[in-house]
Amino acid sequence: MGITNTTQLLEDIDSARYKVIDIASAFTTASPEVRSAAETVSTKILDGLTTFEVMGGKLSPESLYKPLSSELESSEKPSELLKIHSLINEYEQRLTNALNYFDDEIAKETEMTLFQRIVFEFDYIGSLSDNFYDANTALQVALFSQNTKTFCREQIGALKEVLDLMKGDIKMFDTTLEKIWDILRKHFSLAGPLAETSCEKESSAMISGISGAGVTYTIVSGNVSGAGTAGIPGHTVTASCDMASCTEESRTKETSNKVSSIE
Amino acid sequence: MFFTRIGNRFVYTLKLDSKEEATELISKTGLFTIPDKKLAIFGDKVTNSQFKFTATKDDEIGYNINISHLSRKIDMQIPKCIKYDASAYTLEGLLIDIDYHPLKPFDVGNFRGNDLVKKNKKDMEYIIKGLWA
Repeated sequence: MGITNTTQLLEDIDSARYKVIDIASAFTTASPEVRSAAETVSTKILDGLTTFEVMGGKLSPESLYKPLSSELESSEKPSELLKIHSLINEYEQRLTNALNYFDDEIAKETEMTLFQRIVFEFDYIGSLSDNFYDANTALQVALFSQNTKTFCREQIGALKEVLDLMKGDIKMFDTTLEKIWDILRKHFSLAGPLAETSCEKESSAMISGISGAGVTYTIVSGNVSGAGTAGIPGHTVTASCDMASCTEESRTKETSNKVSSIE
Repeated sequence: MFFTRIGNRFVYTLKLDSKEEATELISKTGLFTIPDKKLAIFGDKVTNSQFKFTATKDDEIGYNINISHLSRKIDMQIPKCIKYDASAYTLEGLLIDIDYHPLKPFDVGNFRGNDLVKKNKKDMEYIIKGLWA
């Protein structure tokens, strides 16, 4: 479709939108009793027009934030949003490569190793929304949980899906963050250092399972106590254990451990 | 979620002494020229010019550009005891009005107003500089 045709089409949609609004308002003025029905119908038509408009394609952040001239591009600091966008595009390519080389285990894992740097790149970008940082933390935990395992096709696909969601909503609404968590939770272990620990109240837990990255313990007079935060916000576990009452064997292996609070 | 319409409009005015100065500046842009033969149909010189056009870039971004002579008056009814200084107000001059508007919908989650306005302001300065380059 040529430039003129598309522009004309968009103008036609706009004019149709105004016509719908005019007709609906004429209807409601003429007969107030049909107001509700007219509003419902016109809203549906307007929604349909918008859907049709979106089918024509959305504007990419590159097109919106890219300076008009290449001279300006080199002199100006790029917009952070654009920077994130290009980072995602760059690392998304790693995932595409990994899928393309899936049968070549070494090439695939090399691409996935290179992909994992994305979480640290995001860390260096300032002024992002808290939700974006939370999504990045979840991604970090998901990748960390995969450290000693190879990636399957579904997991790479899930990471691609996560990047697509991030790319479409860099400001990151709560709903997008929840979708990202759901996808990652489905394909990876998001429990982080608590992965092998049962966190149910009054249940027994493996000390070795709790004491991982992000969790610190101190031993004072035979008592073990500690608190730590798993990778995901809202999963704080405070655990305490009376080591004096444990046998030497259980101290090193499995110890009855009361989780005093789970937030 | 997406915005179906976003954009912003920049209106610049350059203070000048007369309408003729504005006309001369507009003609110096080279965007607007009337061949003598065509002008002869109406008269022998252009004393007031204005041009307005819409340009699109890659079928994604649109610019409505309006360059014209500006003539305004201050007509205020205020109590005598209040003094005012309107020396900075442009009564006579050149108007450059550029309306920037993307032609496609844009994701709400990727929209940062301050980034867009900052970038557009630089773009406008580049465009205006280019008019007389």
